[in-house]
Amino acid sequence: MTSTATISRHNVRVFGAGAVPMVFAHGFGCDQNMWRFITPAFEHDYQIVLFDYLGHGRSDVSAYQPARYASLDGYAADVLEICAALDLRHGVFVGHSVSAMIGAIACAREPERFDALVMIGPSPRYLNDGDYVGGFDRPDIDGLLDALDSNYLGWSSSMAPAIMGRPDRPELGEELANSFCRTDPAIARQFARTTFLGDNRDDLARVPARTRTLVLQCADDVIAPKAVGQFVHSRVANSVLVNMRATGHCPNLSAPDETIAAIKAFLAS
Amino acid sequence: MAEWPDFLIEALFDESAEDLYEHAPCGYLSLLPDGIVGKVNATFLEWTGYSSAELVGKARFLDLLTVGGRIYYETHFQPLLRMQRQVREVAFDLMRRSGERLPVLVNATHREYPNAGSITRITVFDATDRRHYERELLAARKAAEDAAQAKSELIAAISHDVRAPLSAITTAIALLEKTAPTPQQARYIRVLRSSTAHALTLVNNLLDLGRLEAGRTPLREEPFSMRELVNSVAATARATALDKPDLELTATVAPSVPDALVGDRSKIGQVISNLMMNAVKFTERGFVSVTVDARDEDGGGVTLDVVVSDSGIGIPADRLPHIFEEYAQATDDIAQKYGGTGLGLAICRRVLRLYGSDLSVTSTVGTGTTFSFSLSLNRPAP
Repeated sequence: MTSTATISRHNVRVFGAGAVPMVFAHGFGCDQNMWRFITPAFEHDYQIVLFDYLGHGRSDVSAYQPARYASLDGYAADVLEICAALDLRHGVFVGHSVSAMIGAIACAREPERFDALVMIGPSPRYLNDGDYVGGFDRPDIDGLLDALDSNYLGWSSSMAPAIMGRPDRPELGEELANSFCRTDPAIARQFARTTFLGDNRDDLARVPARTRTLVLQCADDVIAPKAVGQFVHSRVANSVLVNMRATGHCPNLSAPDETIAAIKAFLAS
Repeated sequence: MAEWPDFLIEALFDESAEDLYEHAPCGYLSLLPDGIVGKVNATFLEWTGYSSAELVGKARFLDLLTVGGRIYYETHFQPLLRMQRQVREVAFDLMRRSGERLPVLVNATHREYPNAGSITRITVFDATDRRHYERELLAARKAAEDAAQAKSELIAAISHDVRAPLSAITTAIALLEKTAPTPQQARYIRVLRSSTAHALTLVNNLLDLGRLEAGRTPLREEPFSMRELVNSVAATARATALDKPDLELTATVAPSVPDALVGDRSKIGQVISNLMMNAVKFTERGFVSVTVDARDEDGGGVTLDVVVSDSGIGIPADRLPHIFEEYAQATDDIAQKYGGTGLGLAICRRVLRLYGSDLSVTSTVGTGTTFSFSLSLNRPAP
């Protein structure tokens, strides 16, 4: 595939005044918009790279191949293809949620791409397994799939006009409710399965020791509990763990200032 | 205006904003910056079975959801709410105090107070009936998809089994022709040959359509000559039109069309052939024409514009939207008079969609029909 094709299919956006590349990868359920409160703090010092995974945001849905994305390896391969297309080396990878693990896999595969890895709310396995506490049991994930189904059906009334375009109803334009983070329903279902049913614990130890890693752990995160953040920190060789005051799973949206400060302190250290 | 009775004045006076808030037909909650319930109305408490003391200052809205719902809340609902400050009609299941679920639709607004914090206001609608209908709709869709799939598989299986004996009959007919039949026998053989060819075409079309539907038809990339292909298809069409002396059949490939292109010769030929054979079938006199023009694309590719026109019977306007549907003929009369399965155009359209293209049609009853499509192809590598 050509570089242009890779950049186009992942809706890659590059901006910023710095030389060191800083790649931001969105998590399950969102798209590159979720970095909007974070990137302004880094664009003067870094070359910011944003992208959408296939089936998310404004990516090329038609390029999606279910077999490729049956594990996180396919997503990591996409990240590395974007790096190759832009010839990125010695950069910083910032991954939210599942993308933290995708970044870990990418760092293990091609260590020269990233010198630093920032994992926001990471979890290598969401299901409980013996002594390991991931936080969820299988029926919980089935409940999530039900929620996805209900919402893609339920949203259709308010989403359809925005997707299809309604010149006679300009008020139903781009800024209509729920217009961010559009995802293809079938792809979201598979991404949910790949994310929440997978087991990537072994990938943590494969992150090279040369990759400096920051684990950002929120307080009261129902998706990635504190014990999981501690587990990630214990398995990634060259890592530091920062427990944030921010609650929830998306500190990049709910507490951008604290998130920015933590990343800046880590990169400056 | 007549004077209002005392009870009405009293009732309207009592109807305070607070009363409306508490007893509105929807639940209201205000959430503190950390998601803890700061205020909740009586309707919500009645629906869920909790007391105000159990929720206010203690529970998060998140805590009232199913576990799967909590994941959805954190991965979809919260990001949307934070980015666009409002979210509409998101489906959740609330867990009542009794452990029963209550399907709801949630609207929310989020307001930031600079350097202070934020408030999230949530409106909850009971969606029990709606969820019930949604599930029925999903079940009905799945049943319909399963039935369509079973039908396609049955058609494919039968077509496959019928093709083998038809091929044997075709071979036997060819051998029979060489046995010096009498003129009467030769007439019977021609009937046999024509009917068998028709049946084979039908079976092959069914198999083609099945493969196209199942996505098992990869496009081949091979060098071919469009000029040679169009002339060959036109020659075959002329052969079928020998019994129509008043019908002129022309093929024009513009000089701008490159001699060599890369594409699936067989599939492209099938599309042009289906269109031309249709045109011949429905045109007794006048013309059937195929023209191909070329436009250069950026990057060295070529866009071909292919147009097949006829001066035939035409298609009524109200039938035009349906002619690409499988098994559709424009009218029952046409199916009876001209035969055919109605599969040809459906196959054309599906093949063209593999190329990211589509078939267009214009028609006037009694004047004729024009089908057209575009194809983006590459030149062979030097």
